[in-house]
Amino acid sequence: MSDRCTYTGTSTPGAGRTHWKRSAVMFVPCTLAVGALGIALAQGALAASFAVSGAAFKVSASEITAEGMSSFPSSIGDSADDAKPVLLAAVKNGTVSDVCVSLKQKLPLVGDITMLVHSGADKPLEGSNLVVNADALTGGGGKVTGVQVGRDASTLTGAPGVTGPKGTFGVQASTAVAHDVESTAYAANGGALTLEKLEIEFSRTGKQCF
Amino acid sequence: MFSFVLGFLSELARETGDWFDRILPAPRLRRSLRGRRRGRPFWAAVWVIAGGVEMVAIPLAPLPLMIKIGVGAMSAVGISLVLIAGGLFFLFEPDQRMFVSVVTAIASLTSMATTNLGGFGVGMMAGLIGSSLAFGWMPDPVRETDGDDGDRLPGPSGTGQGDPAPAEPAEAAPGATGMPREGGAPKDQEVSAPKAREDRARSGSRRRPARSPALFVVSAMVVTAGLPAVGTAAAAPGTDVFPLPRPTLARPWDSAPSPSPTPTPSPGGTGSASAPPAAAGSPQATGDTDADSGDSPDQDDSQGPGERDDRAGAARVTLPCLTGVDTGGLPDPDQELEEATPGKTSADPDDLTALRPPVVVGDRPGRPRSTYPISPDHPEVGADTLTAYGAIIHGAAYLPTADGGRMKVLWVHADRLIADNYTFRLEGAGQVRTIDVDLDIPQVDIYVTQLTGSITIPVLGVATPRICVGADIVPANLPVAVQLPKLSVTAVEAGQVLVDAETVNFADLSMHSKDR
Repeated sequence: MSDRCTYTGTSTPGAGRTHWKRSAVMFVPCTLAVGALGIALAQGALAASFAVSGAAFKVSASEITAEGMSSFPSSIGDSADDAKPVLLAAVKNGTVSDVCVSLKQKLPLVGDITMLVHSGADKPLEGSNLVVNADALTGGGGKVTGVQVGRDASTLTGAPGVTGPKGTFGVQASTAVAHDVESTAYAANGGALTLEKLEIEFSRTGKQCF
Repeated sequence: MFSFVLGFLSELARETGDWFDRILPAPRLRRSLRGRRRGRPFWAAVWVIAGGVEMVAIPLAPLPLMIKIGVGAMSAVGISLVLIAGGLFFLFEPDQRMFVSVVTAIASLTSMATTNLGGFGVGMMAGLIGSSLAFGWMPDPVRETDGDDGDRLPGPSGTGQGDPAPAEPAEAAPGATGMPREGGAPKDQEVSAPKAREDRARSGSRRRPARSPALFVVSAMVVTAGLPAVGTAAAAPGTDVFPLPRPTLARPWDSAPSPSPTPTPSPGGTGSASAPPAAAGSPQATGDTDADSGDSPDQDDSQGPGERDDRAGAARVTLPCLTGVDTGGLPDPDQELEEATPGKTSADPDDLTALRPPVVVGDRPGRPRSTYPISPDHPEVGADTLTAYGAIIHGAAYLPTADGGRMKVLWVHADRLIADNYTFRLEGAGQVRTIDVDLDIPQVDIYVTQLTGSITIPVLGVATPRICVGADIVPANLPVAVQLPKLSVTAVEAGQVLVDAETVNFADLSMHSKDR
């Protein structure tokens, strides 16, 4: 299809073309709006919504606090064969300090590329209605209050609206604090996340959060 | 200087294009496709659809989960559908491009706040570029410069005569909506008059530098490099020359019909628009092996039977389990038990001198029994040592399960419980989840189905053989409790049904999930 360039200058019946001045009429204001939105997001004036999934990504944070938490074992995947066991954790309101997210992705033509996102070094991020499907998790220590370990997952009340299948082991807590958390997760969904000073870095060196 | 560079580039592009035209197969098919592309804002549609597909492909969590979360998560799907639908409009109803391009531009902007910063910026920028291209796209006014154009449909305007590229095309085409659809002439025209074509191209090249190759190259680069996870639906329209590898994410719409390179107004084209919502719970990555290699598999084995045996070795002998005989008991504790006042236990957990009668008959000390439904699927836990200060052994009780049944459990309360190297193992559906953690829990109620361990007798410092007690042999809800200032158990194994605590302090947490 690359041959189209041959006939760019010729006239074909019914042909049209892009008039760059007209395009700019839309593109320039939109770009300005994007800049304004970006500033608003980076300053925390506007909460961004997230729903990330796909390959496993790594998350580390120096401190995580949660208010209203539910958790139960779950699996992601469309069939029993390739189901991936995860621990689903839902948080009603939470903050994250000094968070790092890294995602390694194999791209065609380019090869492996990693994306590193840093945020919350100065001021913790705030989020609500966060749901994470974690594959592995390590934590240095912390404190959980109002703990009910073993409550049936279908009756969990820690995070509103998130319950598991009946007969499944469930955990809930009213508050939780964890330090030096490192996790491998497959999906993260945030109802809203207020960002602070976002740094995004792409590299091919394979550098990850941990 | 600038015009010279532009002219040189367009010349180069044309030569390259000519070369491609000579070596590529199926010239007739390609010419007919070319006519279709030119008759609509094709590249705008490609960009917009690519942006929409990227947004919905990157974010998808299991769909049932997204529905539970509600508006925030579903907006990813909604905005993507708007963009994809807009792209289809550009392809099949180019006349409506003005309004649709404004809609897609607004949707792209909105996506920044609602959809992963607009699909991490990529989908949003693709949508904006596509929208702008569509906004700027105009059908050419008819130019009567060559005789072989005589079979063209009558154009809406006579302006621009003799000028291959009007300076202000927007004004030059007042009847833009009268754009001819799919002329049938391009083949004959181009085959019959190659020389004329070349002359025409040269004369027009100065004002119309070859933009399409640039568009194509940029489109292809972004589509192939930036959106590896996007299904072939997005890639197919523009990059069928490029042998795209399979997308890294196995998603349901991989098998969905992708928009044909030849835009035909058939339901097949809309398949891509309806496919994304069907992506229920399939973020299954084929690259799992990469991801898993990052984990440390050695920690996964910490719950292996050999290690457990080592720990048990400290307690020499394990007596046969006292279990298998259900002694029954009262179906429910008396109402007054629920309202019992806490008994007197030592305020200072380290104060071991307090001597109380170990057996309490009547009102139960400690907190009342938990009442919320438990899950019948309970984990096996173990610990190197388990030390309970201010322990109250309540005996057996029934706990309700969520499906209306009940489970007989041993109920132990502790003012403070310290578990060293506590391991938690939950199996189900061929999957194993393990947690290793050190715990320090004040004011805790533990409910277990059976408990195995070697009890250390406090004063003598002697450990008993490992004793195993099942909940079934203890009559339920006896109005008797045993209070112990300190209970130390080593080499513990238990079927842990429920832990109810006000506060849990933990350290060195490590959780892993894996297939059995």
